[in-house]
Amino acid sequence: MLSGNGFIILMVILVSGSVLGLAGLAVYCLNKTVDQSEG
Amino acid sequence: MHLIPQSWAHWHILVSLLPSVGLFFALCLYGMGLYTDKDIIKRACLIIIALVALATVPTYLSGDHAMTGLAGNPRFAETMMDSHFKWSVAALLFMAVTGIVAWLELVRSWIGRPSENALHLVLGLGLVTLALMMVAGELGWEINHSELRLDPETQKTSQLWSHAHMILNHFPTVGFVIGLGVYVGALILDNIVLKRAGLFLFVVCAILTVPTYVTGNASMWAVTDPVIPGISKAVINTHRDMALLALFGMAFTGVTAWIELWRYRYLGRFSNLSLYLVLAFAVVTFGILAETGHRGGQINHPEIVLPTDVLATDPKLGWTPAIELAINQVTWFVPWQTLHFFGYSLVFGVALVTSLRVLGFCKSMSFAAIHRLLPIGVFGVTMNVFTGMLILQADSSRYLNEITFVPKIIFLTIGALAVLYYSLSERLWAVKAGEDAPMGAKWVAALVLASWTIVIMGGRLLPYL
Repeated sequence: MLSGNGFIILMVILVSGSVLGLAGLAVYCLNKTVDQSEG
Repeated sequence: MHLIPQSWAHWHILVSLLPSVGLFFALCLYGMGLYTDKDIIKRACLIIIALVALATVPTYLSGDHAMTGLAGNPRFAETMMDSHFKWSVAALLFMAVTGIVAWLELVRSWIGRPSENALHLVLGLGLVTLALMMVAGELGWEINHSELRLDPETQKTSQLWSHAHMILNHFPTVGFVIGLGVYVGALILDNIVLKRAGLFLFVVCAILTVPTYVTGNASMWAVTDPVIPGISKAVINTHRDMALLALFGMAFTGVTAWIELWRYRYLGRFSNLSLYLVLAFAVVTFGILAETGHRGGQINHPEIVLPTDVLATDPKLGWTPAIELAINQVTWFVPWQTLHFFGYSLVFGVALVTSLRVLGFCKSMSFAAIHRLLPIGVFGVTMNVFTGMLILQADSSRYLNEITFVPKIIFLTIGALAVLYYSLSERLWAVKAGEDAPMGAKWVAALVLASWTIVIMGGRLLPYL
């Protein structure tokens, strides 16, 4: 069972990781479409 | 929602926005057309100005009938209605003349180029009309909104917020309607310049939604604490729920529109799939905006509420009260605040690198190479708009009354609009490796840096001042 602090840290990692991960994936895909058109 | 307004007052509230706020957007786009010397934009704006001028007829008629219908109602002072009427007639006459000149120039120059003198005449008349519309609009709002005249000493949250929201909320909505019109016209004509103009308007409206949402939050406190008779927090909450959806819709439309503008720079063409995706988002968002506006009107316009309308009575129902409760839990507040700080790091990092290149650093890179980084900054802004709105709900009454909150929101809007210049300027795009950026671009870069610095400082000082 997670303590109060442990749960907060887990939430921080989950929320930040998922949102930043999605944003990173979107930036990667956008750059790839431009790279393909230039290459 | 009544698809067709059931009273003259309701009609007047709706159609009067076209010759006022509609004219503002038409003139902004027109100014850009004149500055960039794009004939298609100038012609499109002449058509918009002429159409906006046609709206003077229903505006006058609905206003006249509304005055007759409301005469004798103690809520509406006759002297105020008379004063609004006189200024409105002057504004509508100028609008009609501006529209006629725009039509004449459009017809005269159908084959060939429009005349510079006539174009400047339309601009001059339009600006005078806009000034008259501002006075008429202000007098019109004062007829119904008696809360604006409350003694500031008795108010915990200034009524300036309500006043600002009352004006500001019409900009993303009416601007969006004009943007949708330009965009659909562009898709039908398959014209690249108009497509870019439509996408640009969507992004501008999405940016303007942020201060609109914030002023709306503050207005809620201004009109409910202390309580103003006739204004219900439950009705406000139904409007807030829809406004939250509108914020999402605007963000989806604005970000996808901006991505298309960004990609166009590299590909030199638009993807049809993306263009129609933007259109789909825009159409859905338009529906949400209409419902948001309608619910907003029900808050303080008893004259448009029908006996058959069922208004909310429980202020605890809805999504926004539930979000307020959830975000006050530390397990929700801290993760979103952490993400908010990540967002600012992304925004400031990208704004700094891009602006430094424009100002003359790292000249070994072309502007096109640096421009590649912009989506990271745009995702940062989007993240921060949503995390910021969530954090705001935790204690909005306190945040909104802090002295650094207003400059933060003003410069957030300016900073976001200024960054848009990086994806639109032709001269800046042509800056190759080793070349210096134009002087105008350097001023914009300085504005971008200053704006985002103030935004971060304003936010950081919120808990302490």
